[in-house]
Amino acid sequence: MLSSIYIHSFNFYKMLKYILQTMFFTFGYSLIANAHNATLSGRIKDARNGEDLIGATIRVVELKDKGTRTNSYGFYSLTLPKGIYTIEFQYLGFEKQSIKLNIDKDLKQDIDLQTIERTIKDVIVKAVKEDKNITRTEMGVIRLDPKSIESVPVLFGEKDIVKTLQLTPGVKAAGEGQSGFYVRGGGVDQNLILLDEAPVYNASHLLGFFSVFNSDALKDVTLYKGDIPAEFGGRASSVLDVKMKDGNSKHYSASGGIGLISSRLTVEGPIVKDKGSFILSGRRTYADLFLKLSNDSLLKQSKLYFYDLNVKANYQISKKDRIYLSGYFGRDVFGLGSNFGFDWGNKTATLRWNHEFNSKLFSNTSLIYSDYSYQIKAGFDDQEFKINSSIRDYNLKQDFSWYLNSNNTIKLGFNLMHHTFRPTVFSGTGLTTRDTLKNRYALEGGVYIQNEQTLTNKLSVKYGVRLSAFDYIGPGKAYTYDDKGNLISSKSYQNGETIKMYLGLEPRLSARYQLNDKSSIKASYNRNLQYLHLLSNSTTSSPTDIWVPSSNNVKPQIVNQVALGYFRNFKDNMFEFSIEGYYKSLGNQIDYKNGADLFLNLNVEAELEYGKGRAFGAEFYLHKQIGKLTGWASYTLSRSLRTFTNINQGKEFSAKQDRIHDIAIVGMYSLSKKIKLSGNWVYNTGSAVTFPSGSYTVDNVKVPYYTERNGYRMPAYHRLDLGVTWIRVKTDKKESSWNISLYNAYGRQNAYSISFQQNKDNPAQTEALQTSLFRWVPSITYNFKF
Amino acid sequence: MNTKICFLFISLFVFASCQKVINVNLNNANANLVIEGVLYDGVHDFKVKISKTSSYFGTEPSAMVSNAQVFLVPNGSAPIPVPLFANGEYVLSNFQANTATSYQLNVNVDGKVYSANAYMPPITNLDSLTYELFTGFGGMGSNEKNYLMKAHLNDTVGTENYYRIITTKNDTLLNKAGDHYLFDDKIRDGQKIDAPLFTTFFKDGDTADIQLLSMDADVYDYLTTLNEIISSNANTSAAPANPNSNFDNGALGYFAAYSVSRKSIRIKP
Repeated sequence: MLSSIYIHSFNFYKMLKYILQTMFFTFGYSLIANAHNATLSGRIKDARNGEDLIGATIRVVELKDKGTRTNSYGFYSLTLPKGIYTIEFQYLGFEKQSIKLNIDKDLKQDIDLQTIERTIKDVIVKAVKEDKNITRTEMGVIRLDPKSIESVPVLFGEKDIVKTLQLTPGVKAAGEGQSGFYVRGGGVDQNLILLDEAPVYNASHLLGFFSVFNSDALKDVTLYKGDIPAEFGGRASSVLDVKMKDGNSKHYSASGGIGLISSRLTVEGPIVKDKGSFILSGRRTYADLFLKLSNDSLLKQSKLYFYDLNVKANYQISKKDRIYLSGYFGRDVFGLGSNFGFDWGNKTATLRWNHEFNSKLFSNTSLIYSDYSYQIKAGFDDQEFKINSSIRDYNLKQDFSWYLNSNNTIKLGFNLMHHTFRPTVFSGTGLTTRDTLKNRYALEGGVYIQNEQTLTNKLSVKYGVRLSAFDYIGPGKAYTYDDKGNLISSKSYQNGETIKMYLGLEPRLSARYQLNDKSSIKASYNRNLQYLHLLSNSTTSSPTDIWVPSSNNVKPQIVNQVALGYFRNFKDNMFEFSIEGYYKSLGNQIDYKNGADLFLNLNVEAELEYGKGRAFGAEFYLHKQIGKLTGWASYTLSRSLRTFTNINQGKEFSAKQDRIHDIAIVGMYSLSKKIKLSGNWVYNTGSAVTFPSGSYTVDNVKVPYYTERNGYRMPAYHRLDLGVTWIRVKTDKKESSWNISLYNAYGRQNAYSISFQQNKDNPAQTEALQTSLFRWVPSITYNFKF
Repeated sequence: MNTKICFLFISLFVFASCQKVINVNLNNANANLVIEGVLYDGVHDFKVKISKTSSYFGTEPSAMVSNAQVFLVPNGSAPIPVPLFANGEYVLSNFQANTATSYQLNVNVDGKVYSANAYMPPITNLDSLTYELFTGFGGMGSNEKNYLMKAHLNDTVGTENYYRIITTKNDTLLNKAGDHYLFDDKIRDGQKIDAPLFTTFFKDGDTADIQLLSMDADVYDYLTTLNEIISSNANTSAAPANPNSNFDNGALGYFAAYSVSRKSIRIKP
């Protein structure tokens, strides 16, 4: 296996070298021609705590269209003709800084930006009004500052970035209170969820009611719904890129919250002042304490909780080098009486090394580990059994940002990942199985290059390509099936031997044309391949869902997406407005044969059906970022359809997430310095669902007769949530506040499920029974910082 | 993992969940043919019931089909006609069915022929029945004594075996949706299997009559897929579909060939 990794990485290096050479050849002239230019570079930080500011803008006042942004590590680089310039550094919520600089040679300029005291009475005078909505060459992107959404009311008062994302256009919740989400008609498993670059395979706790992301530990959240940068690959629908805080490098601080069902505590501080810092953030739920109050002895002995821990440290080892180590560890624990135990969770770790080769070339090297596992234990009398399963990755990732000149920013790099799939293993006293499921292995990698280029002051383009490869390798057996799913033959493969290899070319293109100061149009095309597939036989996320690799039977999922958008800002950038339309074709989609047995099945690949799909829609978004009243309104009109030869008689049917209308309105209002009000209202068409269209009797039981897949609709869903935050103390060092919220304020009985059952008084009569969750769920949380 | 655990989670969570009866407008599908034929080993009346699907919320009985020609074809023998007995019911009296034999059922309705094949496996004997006081899960939270019945059998090594257990409690056949008890030997091939019958608990003085049915893979597949849609809570499992029938030409229902082993026991106070 090692030799095979070596060969593969060698090939990637070869490819990378070739690309680099081509690039130097192409751009070489411009390098020579620009000898009378100089480069300004540095890092932008938050003056309060030394956190890097991601996406802060740098603008040259004298050259109106020239500017750049900081990358994920707060680094920027800007090449200009030699001269004296006024440079503006700005970031939303921070005071703008202007500096006059004589750039006659390469210059390093680090900047600390001060936050604006947002609660100053009356108007916010100095607030930055950004026009990035119209000037950035990107579309289909949602960025959230975890701090700015903290007062949005949520279920159980547990602020959750994923649930806030579900209130934005094109993103839909997987179900009531669920943290799983659908992006532009794609599946829940088609979202690449990254926490400090490490993939998180099961991003939810407690059957989806909470996401694994503890907002206290997060700095930046970006969701790419389309126009996915070439550096990302591996999932068909979207990328959710979550970045953890680096920790306060100025002084020690602690913050936290105490809520009805969970509490949080974060400690951060400098390792060496202004050189390195750490953050440690933990969260634990204790809803199961209420079970102790129960009279039922079974419930009394039961356990149900989760905890998670985020840790991160960074240290500046030299002027040009910085290392980061970050980790996440979370686990759900469920126990029923003394007979049954079930726990699951993710572990991730990322070691990163930032290096500035020179003022124009920034490099990041990451070593990433990710693991998801679950375990079930049960015992009755003298019998005991255990079920285990996991997926584990080791990933090497190299990224370069090359700020060639003020018109071209190039990103290139590669990654190579080794996957181990440990299938469900069943063990216990006196159990023997005919077939034992063995571990499966795969290598996944990609090489990419992308250039963001300003052609004229109105037209900019971003073009890139990702070459991805997936190698399903031995030791293992490959199985061949006939059309009906019967095993025809199998073949054994040696350690490291290729069983099936896939290569894919994934172009990523986008363009922006600025119509005037206030508006622009953008277009994009991207193609994404997905080599890992989630097998799940429930509609909510389940800890026992398993990931399987592409193989000789299972082909990679392919999604092509085109999008067109119109972006306009109003009232001096106070309001951002956008309309985006998209069309997606989905290839090699997976569904299951009726009665598919996904559990402990050696021939699980024979239980799958393959088909295609299409999704299209229009997203309307109006966002107000500054002022006393902030918030947004979003409306999505969309469809998501699938076609499988052996499902629904081969006719196209609605995917579950085919909710045609989707509306969300979010508002936050500062009543005074001390009191903030918030509210959100959502409405969506009910999910597509399969109901019977007739019945018959077999075995003395009434059996529903189904004629079509997802031919019916659940009732429409709507809900209003309200919240109020009372800030008791707020100084530079100390903060304390109370947050009270009410979920589903008007008590709408939204259908969680509809089942059919016999009427109790008249068994001949069948009736439809609707189950609703969560009416008027109040919560109260106390937050503090010192 | 499964619906039950999922619901447990949710019920632990929900402060304000509620249920109500609602009106759902369902379409009326065109009536489809339903055939149900069950053959037991030994000498029994072989019964076939043929009907049509009806509207889902309707209370009127299903329309029966009495104009069919029905034939049972034992492997390598001539077709045996199964005559109409009553409205939609066809009965072949005192038919001797043999284990380790394949049977075919052919039904001709209005010129269209529907056939299904079923193999009757050799009998797997029910060795014994035992019962014990059940204390797990805190005795199910009940103060009354609950006894858990266990059926003991020896699985045949090297062959795939599919089982169903039918329980008769105090002369009442338990045949509701939740009473289906199906298992196979996927993880216990060739082992002594002690099947705990969690579908029902017994009290002091109860009698239990237990039948162990063996069947082929297709019938098992039908029953498991049938079980999925009659026991699941509609929306929480994957999209429901009609059970995988062993009949061709789109007929619903199934043709089973069971070999049976039977035992009974009384719970002594």
